[in-house]
Amino acid sequence: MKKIAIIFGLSITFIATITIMIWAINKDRVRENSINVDVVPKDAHIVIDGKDGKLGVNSLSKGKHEVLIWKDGFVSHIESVTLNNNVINVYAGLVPYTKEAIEWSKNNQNDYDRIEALTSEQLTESGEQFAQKYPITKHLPYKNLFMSIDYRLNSDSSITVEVRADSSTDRAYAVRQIINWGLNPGDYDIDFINFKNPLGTK
Amino acid sequence: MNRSKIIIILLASLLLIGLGGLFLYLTSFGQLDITYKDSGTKITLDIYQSGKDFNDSKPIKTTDAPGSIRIKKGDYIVKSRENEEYASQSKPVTVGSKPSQVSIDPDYSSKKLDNLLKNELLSIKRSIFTAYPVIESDYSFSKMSLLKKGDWFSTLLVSKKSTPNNDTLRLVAQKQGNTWVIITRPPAIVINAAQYKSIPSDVITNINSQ
Repeated sequence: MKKIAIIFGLSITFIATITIMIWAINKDRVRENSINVDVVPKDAHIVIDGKDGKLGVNSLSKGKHEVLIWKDGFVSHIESVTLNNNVINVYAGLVPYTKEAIEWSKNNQNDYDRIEALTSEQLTESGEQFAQKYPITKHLPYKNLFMSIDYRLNSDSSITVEVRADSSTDRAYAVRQIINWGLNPGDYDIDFINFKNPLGTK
Repeated sequence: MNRSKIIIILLASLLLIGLGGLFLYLTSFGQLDITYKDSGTKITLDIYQSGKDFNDSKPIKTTDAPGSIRIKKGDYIVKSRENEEYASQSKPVTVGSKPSQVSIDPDYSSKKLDNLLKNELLSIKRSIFTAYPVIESDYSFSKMSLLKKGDWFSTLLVSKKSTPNNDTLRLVAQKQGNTWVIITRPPAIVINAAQYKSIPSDVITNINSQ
């Protein structure tokens, strides 16, 4: 009995020490790459890069992945995601097209509402990410008596800042305004509408 | 259980805890490799804990030469001291389980750059006027600066005309070999960093804020 107590005490201490060591070694490791899948209906097939995936967290390698979610009677959902030491959520509420599927979706509207709420939350996060990437958009459109500053979205999802002013003084004022917002004008592609550069075009 | 056995258990436990503590202490240090981009650089480096004001805190280490040092894992700022030859430079570095590297490459001091500009100005202007002859007649130079190691030049071009497009333009040139090359073609109201990726970001920030 005494021997068991001794072995037990030593084992506990040993396990605790090993746990601390493992924690110390692993604490600097980067976050794993994974795709978190949530879908309605729950029994839909999840295929990632041609292989069976699952509801919840799917651990994958860094890089581009193709997610296919399908179920008979519903329109399939296909999404490409790129992992870069992060977790990406893929939410899909499959749209029904057969009579049975439509009936099923009517009876499970709560599940669709839940997915919609998750998607909406994700879109809000995307909007916040966009504002983080292009902080000037938080201030735009800006207009006063002499000039206006706005932006347009390019096909590659980048933005071009548009400055409309009639004089060199007002254009300089617009640049100063951007600096006053605490931003670096050089970070943006700025199109000075109405300005013709006397030294040529790019 | 008799007393001797209890003591053995306690000692064994303390030994294991001590070994664990020793392991934690030893793994709390990492290696920081400091290199100078220009091996002839003579500067003093101070290493500060990140997040602390330089003026209020003492450096945790000071070194006059490149090399490897062992230091507690964490975030640091490696700051080179300003001298006659070089400006100060601060670089953040995270020391972790794997050896971390920081390469120090301070710019020349403003005094040295001002002296270099006097020698280079004629050559710079000649290159600008060759590329854009109209600048000689229609613009004047303002805020001319040599930057980095005297290999970058920036200036404002202030229009002498009173036409609708008489905006002040920004120009950046780079010394390539013995020739000054205009990089911002054409000079523009704002220099866009994405458009001119070869221009160092601090050169762009500096000229755009003038």
